[in-house]
Amino acid sequence: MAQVGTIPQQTGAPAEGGGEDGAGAVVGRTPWELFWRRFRRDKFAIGGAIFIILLVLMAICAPLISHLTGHGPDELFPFTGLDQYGLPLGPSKHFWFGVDSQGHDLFVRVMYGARTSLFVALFATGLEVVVGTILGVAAGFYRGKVDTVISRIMDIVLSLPVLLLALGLVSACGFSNNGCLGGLIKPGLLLVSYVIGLFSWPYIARIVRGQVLSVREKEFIEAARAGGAGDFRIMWREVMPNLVAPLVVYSTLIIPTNVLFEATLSYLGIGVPATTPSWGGQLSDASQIFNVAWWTMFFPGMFLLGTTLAFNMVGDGMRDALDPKTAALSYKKQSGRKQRKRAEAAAVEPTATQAAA
Amino acid sequence: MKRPRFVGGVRLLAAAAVVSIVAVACGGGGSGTSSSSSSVPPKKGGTLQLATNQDVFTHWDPQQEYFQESFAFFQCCLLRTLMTYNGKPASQGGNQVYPDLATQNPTVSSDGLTWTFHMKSGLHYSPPLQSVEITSPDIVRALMRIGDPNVPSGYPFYYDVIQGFSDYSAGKAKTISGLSTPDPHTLIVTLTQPTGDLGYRFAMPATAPIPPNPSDPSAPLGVAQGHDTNYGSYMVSSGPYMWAGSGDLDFSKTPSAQPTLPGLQAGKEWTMVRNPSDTQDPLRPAYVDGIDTSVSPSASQAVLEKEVTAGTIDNVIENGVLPATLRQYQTTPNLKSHLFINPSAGNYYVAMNLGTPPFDDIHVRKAVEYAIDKAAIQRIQGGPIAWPIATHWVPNSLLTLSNGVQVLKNYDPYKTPSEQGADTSGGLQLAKAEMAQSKYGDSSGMCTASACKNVLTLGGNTGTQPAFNSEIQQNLAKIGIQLNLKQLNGSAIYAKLLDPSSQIPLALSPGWLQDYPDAFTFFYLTMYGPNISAQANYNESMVGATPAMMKKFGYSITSVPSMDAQIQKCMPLTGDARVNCWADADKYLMEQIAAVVPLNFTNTVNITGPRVTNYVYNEFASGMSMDKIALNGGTSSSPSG
Repeated sequence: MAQVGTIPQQTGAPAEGGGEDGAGAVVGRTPWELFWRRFRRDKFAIGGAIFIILLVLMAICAPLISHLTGHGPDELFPFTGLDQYGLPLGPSKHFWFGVDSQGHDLFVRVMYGARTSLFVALFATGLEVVVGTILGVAAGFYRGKVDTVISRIMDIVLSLPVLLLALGLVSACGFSNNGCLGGLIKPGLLLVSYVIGLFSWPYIARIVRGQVLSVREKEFIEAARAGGAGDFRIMWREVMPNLVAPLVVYSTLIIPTNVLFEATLSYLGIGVPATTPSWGGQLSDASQIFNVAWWTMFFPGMFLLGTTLAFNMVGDGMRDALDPKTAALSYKKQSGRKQRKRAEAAAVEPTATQAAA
Repeated sequence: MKRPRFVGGVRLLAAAAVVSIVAVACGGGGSGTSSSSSSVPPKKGGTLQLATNQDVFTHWDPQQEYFQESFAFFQCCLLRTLMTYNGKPASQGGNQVYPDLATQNPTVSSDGLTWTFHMKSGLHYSPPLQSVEITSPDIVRALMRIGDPNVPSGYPFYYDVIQGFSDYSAGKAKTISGLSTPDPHTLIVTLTQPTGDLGYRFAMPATAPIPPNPSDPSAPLGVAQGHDTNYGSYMVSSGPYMWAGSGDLDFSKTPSAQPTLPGLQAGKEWTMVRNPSDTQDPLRPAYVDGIDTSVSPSASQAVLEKEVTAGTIDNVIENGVLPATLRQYQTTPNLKSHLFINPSAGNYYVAMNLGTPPFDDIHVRKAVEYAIDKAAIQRIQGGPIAWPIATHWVPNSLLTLSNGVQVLKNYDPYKTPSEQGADTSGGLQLAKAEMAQSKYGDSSGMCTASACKNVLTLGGNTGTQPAFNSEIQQNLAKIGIQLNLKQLNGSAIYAKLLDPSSQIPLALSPGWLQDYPDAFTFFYLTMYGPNISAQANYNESMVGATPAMMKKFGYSITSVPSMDAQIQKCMPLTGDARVNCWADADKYLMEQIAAVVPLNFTNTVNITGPRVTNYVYNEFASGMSMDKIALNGGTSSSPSG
């Protein structure tokens, strides 16, 4: 801790204040600028972000890629893609990632799989964040009975065997034509997203609740209340801005969890419909045949790995960048290399308050 | 043997379940692999080690079992019948029946209605009934059990041609009037209509003798009395083998107190040992001393096949091997001699429901016949070895004249270039020309009517089935038929198809396998109007349904084509006239009704472990003849009987 405290003081001033304009020209940085300056120093996070951007582009451009290769996502290549035993052929100049066990172009399928994975992950995460935030804020802000009820619901949801329930729900609503609840829940991408989202919101809600519990005791809340602000105004205008940072960080970290959850459900055959390309479904297919067709497991597997890794690295980087306290607290545990990096970062970037002071 | 299955997930036919994984029972007609391994003269001894991951033989009840694998066990090893097969391929007489318990072929009266069987004397049952001789009342007992309303019998419909059988099974009579036993070694069967294939029906395992119970001679069903649903666990053998521990059976106790067969451990192991009462039956050489089957429902097929290659087991009970294994055996010289590919009399097909638009129009059905790319499906399903293309309904082995000529071998009424259907311009043109003539199509040959949109279609969801479904979906889209494809597992599909009121317009891959080597078995349940039933309907297309039936099952279209007359015409015939008659019925079905698109005729592909020396293909059971297998050297594991 001592180190942390001293280094910025020694080197921070010249680096920050000693700009072109000299003394008196100290300009406060916006939180975004501060975030970006810290974030961009984390090479892993930047790498992850680049990967995610490429992945999103790929997902968006999947039809274009399909058009360029001339291979549709559902198109079968029984004569050019399968050998005389019906076994798929490996990577070649026609099929960059080889052919899957059904006879589809695996490259095109993986690209379309990115769409499925990202859609489900983002939609489910969004659902989780919305539900988790609303309930978390309500519980933390009102405390008392509201908190008790919401917290117990969270406990119950958290104690449910999610995978088993998901299996049951998706099987019940996924196989019949009309879905469940009079057609409200229909099989497909949305159902999977709902299942994932509705079982995972308590994680977000708990974090939010904790934050709100501490924020609501702060002076500015008291000030707002004294100024005559109502509950909703306080929650929306005063409490919410303080939740943005943890929400952004935590959402980024649960995206990869959701990508994997979707893959797991699809692997088990209860995720997206079998005809929809998805990495989990592709891995499931590959499990039957990977001993003679390694590519069927390798490419979807690498993309799944890359995606989860990228989101995790970005999330990690964002947490460090958004919350200097976390960085400071975890200093002692960090490796030497990372410590140096942090120290340097801290040295050149005093917080907005420091700079203003 | 056997009922329908889906490519992939079979419900009723055990073997077919394997198909799901990919390569159907299959093997190639055209392949050079032989039906029997040429080898040194077979040696006696050793225990054959089999394995299966399909524990569907829960009953092992001779009157209930309706799976090809159980037929194989019963025919080769456990049960003798009046007539039987030689357990060899069709080319070696495997499709003929031979006297087994009978001394000679039955004598048939000139009107074809009275059949007389004379039986061998001096044959006895396995322990504990080794002193009980096999006699003609025992056969009557078996037929009574087939017709018994309390026994969930597998195929009673084959015996309702016997006078009084229907009355007995309806509970209106205590005995079957058409069966008489003037002496213990004679059985006289009186029929209500001439039935040319009755000999085959008396070679079915269900007709194997049931011994009387020495402690209760008056019991009408003998030792099976009181075991309506579970006689399998108390079955006394008449063949060269018996279930291990058969001697422990005790019929002096009340049925519920009787000990079950120790050799039959459901879900674990089935153990067969030699039957000491066996008298060296010439049709069943019975080389090995015992046959052990380890049952592990969760085992992966790939792992079991690897064990065969390694020699830890001798054979997996299945009618198909995985494509990767097939490729490995085809391309590895020292494995190739342990790969056996034989045609089995089965098919897979696309069924169109005559009662649901747009398939009520024959031109739409013919357009579908032309549109489907059978060659692409062949590739997807494992290539020509696994999936020989079919161009008509009945497998060629059942339409073979006595001179060996296959009547419909080159018959291909919906020929398209390379069998590629609408994926070739020639095929697409043919399909569109038909569609243009239909009431649903426009002049360009596309189906534009709303009946062609969102056509509810059932297809399998495992293995290669999604690709298979998707190929057909793409083929039919080219003539404007858009499928609303529901991919389900095999049993879910059958649950729908067995009930005609589900009104499924299109089923992509049901299958059918012969019960015995006569084309009758390909028409009677699948195309014969009177057999359409509410509970167990195998006629997915509703061929021959009466307006009353159609109304009862809720169809708006009540008039559908029938081929009942064509089927009835063939039933009394025998010999080549019968074969030609069935061939004509096949042509009638293909051209005048066009209710089904035959996709392939099945092959049975088997691999055996290195110590198996005398593989012989059993045409009747579509699998390995276990009584003819011999094992190399003294490496056999200890018999577990």
